[in-house]
Amino acid sequence: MNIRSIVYLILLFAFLKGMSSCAPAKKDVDVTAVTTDMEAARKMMQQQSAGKTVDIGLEKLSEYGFFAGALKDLIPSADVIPYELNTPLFSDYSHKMRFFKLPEGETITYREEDVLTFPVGTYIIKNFYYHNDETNLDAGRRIMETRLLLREDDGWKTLPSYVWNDEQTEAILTVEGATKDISWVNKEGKQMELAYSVPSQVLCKSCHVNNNILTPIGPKARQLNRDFAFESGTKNQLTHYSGLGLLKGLPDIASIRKSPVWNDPSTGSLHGRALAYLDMNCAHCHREGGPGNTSALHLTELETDEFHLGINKHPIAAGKGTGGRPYDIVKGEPENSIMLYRMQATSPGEMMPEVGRKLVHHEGVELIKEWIAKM
Amino acid sequence: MMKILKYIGFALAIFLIAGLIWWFVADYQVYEDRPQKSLAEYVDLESDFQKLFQLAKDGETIELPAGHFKFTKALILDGKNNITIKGAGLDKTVLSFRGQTEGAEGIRVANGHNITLEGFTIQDAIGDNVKAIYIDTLTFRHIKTEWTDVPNESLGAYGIYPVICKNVLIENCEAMRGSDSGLYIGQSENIVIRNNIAHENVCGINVENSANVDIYGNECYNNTSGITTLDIPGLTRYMDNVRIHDNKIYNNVLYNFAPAGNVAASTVPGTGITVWAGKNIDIYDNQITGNPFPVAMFSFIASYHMTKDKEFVPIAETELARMEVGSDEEASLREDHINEAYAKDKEYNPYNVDISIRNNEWSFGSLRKKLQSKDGALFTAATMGKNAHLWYDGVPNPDGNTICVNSDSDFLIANLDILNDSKNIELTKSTNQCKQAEGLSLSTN
Repeated sequence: MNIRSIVYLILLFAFLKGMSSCAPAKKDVDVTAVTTDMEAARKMMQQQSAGKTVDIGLEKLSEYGFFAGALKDLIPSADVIPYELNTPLFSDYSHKMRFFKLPEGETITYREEDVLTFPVGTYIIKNFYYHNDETNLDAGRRIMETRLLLREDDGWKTLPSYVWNDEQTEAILTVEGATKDISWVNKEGKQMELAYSVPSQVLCKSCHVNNNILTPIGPKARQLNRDFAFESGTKNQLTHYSGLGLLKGLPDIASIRKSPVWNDPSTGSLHGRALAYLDMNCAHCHREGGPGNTSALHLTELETDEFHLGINKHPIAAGKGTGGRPYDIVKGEPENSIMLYRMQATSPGEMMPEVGRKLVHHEGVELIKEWIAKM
Repeated sequence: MMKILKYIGFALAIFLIAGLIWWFVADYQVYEDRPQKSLAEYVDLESDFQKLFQLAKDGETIELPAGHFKFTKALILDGKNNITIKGAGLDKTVLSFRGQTEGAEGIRVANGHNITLEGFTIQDAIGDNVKAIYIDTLTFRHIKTEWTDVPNESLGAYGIYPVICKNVLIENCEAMRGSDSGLYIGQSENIVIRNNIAHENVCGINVENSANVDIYGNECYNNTSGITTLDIPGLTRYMDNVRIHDNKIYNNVLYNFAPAGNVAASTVPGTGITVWAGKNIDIYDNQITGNPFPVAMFSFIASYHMTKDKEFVPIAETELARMEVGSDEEASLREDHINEAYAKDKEYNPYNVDISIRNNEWSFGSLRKKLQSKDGALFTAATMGKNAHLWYDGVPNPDGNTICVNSDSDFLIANLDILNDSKNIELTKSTNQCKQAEGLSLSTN
């Protein structure tokens, strides 16, 4: 190195430096211009909310008299009828006990495809709970929340959720939702932890809405068409309700469609079980008139069009939810299918469903993976 | 002495090469440097906000206080009518969703009529900043939507996102750093987008499958593409009647940071206006300056090609010709070509139809800016670095063509020959005038 080369070096650096100053001027943005007056802000909002209520629902769950005996035993009163679904919605591995209560003397009307027509005054009651230890059911359970749907003159209403206290003696109406830490041992003996999320009242609508009309999701004929161990013995649910005079217009039970049980191969083909699973977990949004209609994905059990099922379909507004994959479903290639990526994601910006899930449903993922792999 | 000169020459060569590389690559990533405010400076009044939204009655104005506020869950307004959500002003009321754990958007407005959002800033939602769905009569005014991190694919997708809405007005808003689009209007009708600023997004303003759209008075700069319109198969409605006029669309040279798989990810950096399978679009009286590819126009057939996630093998026309139309053999051949899924939507037209480009002011971006993407470099190499006003895919429209251009000076058109991997890119000149309902046929090029 001699002086000359050092001079050249300096000149070169100067040249490079000079060029970099040609880049667009960087503007300073004063992001600290606003200091937040927390008290004033709180006061302003509380003034607006003062005196307002959602004007629906009793304050305590016990006031309805749905259950006989200790509330936490969830033993239905005489006019409260239990039901189960062939393929239920996955809700973070919680278990659910479902009931409906009709007004005295009123009946349900049968419908072939959609949710049955319940009379005005019907309550649908859904209790969410966790067994403390799924390998030992004697270890008790923890009820998290009870959600009510009420059929009024002008349609269904979602009530805010009733959140159970730690003593399991009462559940209180909670408009804004809640987050509750819960831990349990799953059936593989693994300790599970979850910040369980009770939805706010408005969040309920995210799922329970179709063409701007609130509606239950589960109690369709094909989902109710199954046996249940009633106190009087094990019977088909629909026949049982019909026999009690609670359901009118029921055709011959053998002629009614029966949804497969998603995880029971004896109840349906792989395709049938996959569609039943997608129907219950996705179709409340992903159907015509649903909020997920924007993507042209129609994941109902009755869908036959491959494009609407997502096969070779471009994502529409998936953002980073694509996981870099090209199509919703690529036949035979679950690892290239966006659907599977979104089922395995847990970030709210990527996952599906968008709400009501924090954990990955591994068994559901396996089902859909196998379905796509064998296409 | 010779030895020293040799060293100097060697050093010079290295620095020259380094300098050249730097010159080509160094400012791909040009975006304004903005300090990100610490989340600790935002206050948590989330439950008060949640109650405010939930308890609002029809006909009310929800007044948001001034200050910086943080949220973990989406704010939702659902099934309410005649509501105004009003902040203390843009950058005065600032809602941050940087710590979001629930909900896919910052604010969600759904199922109602006559909703107005005005006078606040919304930041860093995990998905979209504001999504509005199934709303008739919707106004966004003086709303700023931004992601505060540097442009990268982990940012949220859409700043303001009305979808399946009617009678939408978006005015005097500012949108930045959407990893898909700043303002994105999907499957809606009767839309005015005016006097907004969109910058540092992948697509500044993006209108998808919408009808009766007026986009004017906007300023779109330093996006990957300034303004985009697209028509996608299989959705609830199609594109029709879009006017893009009196906008300033300049220096859109930002790198593409859209997550792969999205249509936006195939946007070529350096584009002023991008049209995918457009229907009845009039582009006039705009200043379209400093964009290396001023207007890019693709059929949907090319979009599949350019997505490149699946290897594209064009169906050989000769192979197709020998097969009976509608035969199983033909169906199975088409089936092998995954990218023909659009053909299943019988109502859908994958080509550009009735596009006019007239009376715009033009200038071109630098050569360097053309080279920052694989597609851009390919196009540039094939045209020997020459400029063109319109870059189109060269996919012939079997129904003839209805694209017309009108320019005071020569209007340069580059046919990108996409279906043959751009092997024969051609440049043509046109001074053809837009006449009523007829124009230059590009399909014969």
